[in-house]
Amino acid sequence: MNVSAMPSSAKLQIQLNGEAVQTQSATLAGLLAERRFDATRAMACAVNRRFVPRGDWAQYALQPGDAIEVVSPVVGG
Amino acid sequence: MDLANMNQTDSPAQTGSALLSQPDPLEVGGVSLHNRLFLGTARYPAPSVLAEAVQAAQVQVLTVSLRRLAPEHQSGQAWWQRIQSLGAHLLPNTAGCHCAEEAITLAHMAREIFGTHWIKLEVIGDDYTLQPDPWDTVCATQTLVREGFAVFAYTTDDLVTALKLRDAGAAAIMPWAAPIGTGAGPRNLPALRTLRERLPDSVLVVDAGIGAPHHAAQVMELGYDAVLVNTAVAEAGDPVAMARAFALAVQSGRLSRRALPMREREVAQASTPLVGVPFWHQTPA
Repeated sequence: MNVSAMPSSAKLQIQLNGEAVQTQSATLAGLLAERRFDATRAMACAVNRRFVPRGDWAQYALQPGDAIEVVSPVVGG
Repeated sequence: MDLANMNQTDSPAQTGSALLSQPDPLEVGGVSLHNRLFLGTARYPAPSVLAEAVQAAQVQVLTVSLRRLAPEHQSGQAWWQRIQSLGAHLLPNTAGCHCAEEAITLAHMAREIFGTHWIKLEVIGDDYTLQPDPWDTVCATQTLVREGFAVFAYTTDDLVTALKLRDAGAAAIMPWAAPIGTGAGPRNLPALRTLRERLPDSVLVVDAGIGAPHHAAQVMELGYDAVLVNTAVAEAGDPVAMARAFALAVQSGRLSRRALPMREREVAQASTPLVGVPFWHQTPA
């Protein structure tokens, strides 16, 4: 998808950590900034159950219906 | 009385035991560990208690996990920095995954976040018992090994599953002693013994169901290479002291295994010498 072709006013319906949200962002990095994630934190992303490396966030073009997971370290056994 | 004749001539007390001075590292996942107690990081009363427990037991491997991040939730950052400061090898798990695809994706997320190729693979097949799914665990192990992971595979005590995990290239095979969080101790020692006998060259770590240090010593005496404990330490009255108790038990069980325990006998055999028993053949008054 050509990211630059998306009109700035277009809204995408997506799932973010299991919740339905609308976004004006065209990329994964844009979405994270829009939702006020601190990208300097330890966190990782997957879209539609596929891992998206941090280095690809800025170029990753969101599609309608995408299911995005953002995770960070927690305690575990 | 000649005390020397009462001792076995080859006893460690006389000759000095090589076992006590030999290093006994565990080689797993590309590292060499001197402590065979792995510790989970969940359920402690406070992060400071976990840190003290790690120190008290000199733990070198800590398990961690990943969960959905809420942007407004900042406290996790402090916890993460504290975990990093402990200097242990981190073993991220895939807890909560119910299929190979989820576990593989989470493994990749963990590798990026934690900067390790270690993954504690957990694929749950039944939510009530938290029993692992053997098919998807083996399938995910095959994929993750191809992708460069050192897979520590959580499994049951089923022999054939363990053989397939070995063949898939798992770095460690981690059978349960009992279901996660029960603290029941080894429910099927013969099965655990069979795993050790049939997989003599694999790294075997008992994971889940250990409730007390004597359980840990018991499986180490069976020849297991390490033990992973979480709830039994975290929910103890004094987690720091319990962590130390587990470390000692693991060490004791390991040394006992190497020292070759005696064979069990069916009938009594006096340990005190029978020759020269006082009052022998005297008629009681």
